[in-house]
Amino acid sequence: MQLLSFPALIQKEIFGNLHFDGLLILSFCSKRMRNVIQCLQKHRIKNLKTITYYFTRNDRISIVGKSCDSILLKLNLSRSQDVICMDVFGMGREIPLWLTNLDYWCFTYNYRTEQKNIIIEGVHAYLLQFFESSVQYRVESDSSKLPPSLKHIHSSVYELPKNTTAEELEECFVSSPNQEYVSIYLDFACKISPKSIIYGIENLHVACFDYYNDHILFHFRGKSLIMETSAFKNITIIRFLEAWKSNQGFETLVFLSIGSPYLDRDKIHRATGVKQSTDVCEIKWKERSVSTSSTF
Amino acid sequence: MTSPASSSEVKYLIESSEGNTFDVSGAALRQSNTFNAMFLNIGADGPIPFTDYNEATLKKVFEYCEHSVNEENYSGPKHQDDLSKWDLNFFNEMDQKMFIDVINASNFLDIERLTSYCCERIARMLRGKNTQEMIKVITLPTAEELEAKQKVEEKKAAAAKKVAEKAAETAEKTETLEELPVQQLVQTTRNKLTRKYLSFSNE
Repeated sequence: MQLLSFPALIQKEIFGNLHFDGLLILSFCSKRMRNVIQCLQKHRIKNLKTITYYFTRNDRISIVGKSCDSILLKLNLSRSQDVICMDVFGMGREIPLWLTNLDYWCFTYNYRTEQKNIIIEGVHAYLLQFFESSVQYRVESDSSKLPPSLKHIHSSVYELPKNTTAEELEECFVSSPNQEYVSIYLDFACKISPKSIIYGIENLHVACFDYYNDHILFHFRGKSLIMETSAFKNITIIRFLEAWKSNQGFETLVFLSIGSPYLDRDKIHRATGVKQSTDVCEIKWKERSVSTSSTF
Repeated sequence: MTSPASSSEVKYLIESSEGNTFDVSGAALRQSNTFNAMFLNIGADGPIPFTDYNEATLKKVFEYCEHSVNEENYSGPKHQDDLSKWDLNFFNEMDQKMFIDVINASNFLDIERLTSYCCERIARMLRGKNTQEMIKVITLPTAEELEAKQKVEEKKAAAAKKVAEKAAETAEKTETLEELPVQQLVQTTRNKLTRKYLSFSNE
């Protein structure tokens, strides 16, 4: 049966009966098929708000597409030692990526471990083209290896592997330096370069797990910084607040939250003259209104 | 033959592509939005021509309509698992060609319920299949077939180009041949006129 010979209304209704994972597989059939699906399913594609790449241990990658309230797409990429080429995600027959499990709940594709980066970049490029740029793309990783840097990523969450170097961390942001939100779980002291892309991220959340990472506080150039479970000395925070209050840098910073068990709140308040409510210190000067919440 | 009265007793004559006619109840026909828009209010004077579809297809479509006359109002497509035994038999006894004809006819006649079931059935054929298996269902040419087709087309184009070039060459030669007598004719006429003029002026 020649699907593409049916009237557009029929094609639209057939596509409407397939989930996004099925539509993706159908789109691999030909370029024309992909274009027809994109054209006739625009209204459904619009509902897709986010696509998140979860890089987990064992080199497993889960791709989850969500609307405001439900999951619309779920794919898994798992490593394998086999070599089967299937020409999926527009990568041609040379790339070892193949569909192995057509389980109703989640389709699984297998890939050769050594090709991981090429595969994920290829899959992302295809999804970018298929779903267009209206979707927000996110990366979340707790893998033992850092994921490759992908283009057009809106936000990411990294649980950094032990001993990640500053250069390796920097590499993650090269293709998408202007992310709106980044969260980093930093289970070690990481000396990030003062010119790092990370400091320019608009909203940065860092969990430091009792490690001293003062440089993040002093070099941050974005709008909002949240530092959780950080190790800070009182004098560091006092120095920072004095500088911030007297407008010596940190012009773009509008929100700062520091969670640290080692700080003496009263001492800081006395030294900086910051008025405090029960939980939140508020500093106001000039035209800027800054709220500094502290849990110390 | 028919009046616009909307009683279910009323029968309408339908004409197929073969020119054959058969009757369908008004109640069944009213499931077709196309019919409703075109004939329900104004009535039909003579057989209603649905001549893009053959008799077997139209009979199949209206068989479905006749059957679903007494069903509750249509409220969106049902999952294939919810289809009745009659529905399943109805679909299963069709071969692929008939199935495709029925979809197209149902689409033209705008019979929502039948169209939806047909589309759901096709989607079901595609579900749980990989790309290669899908290609077989939707009869898309494979990459190899496309390549072979392209080669054939290239050969055809090259042959056509040769033929066109030869034709152009032949036409050019013919043109030159045809041009000669015309030029001669013009020259002869000119000579004649000159001679006539000269003789006239001598007189």
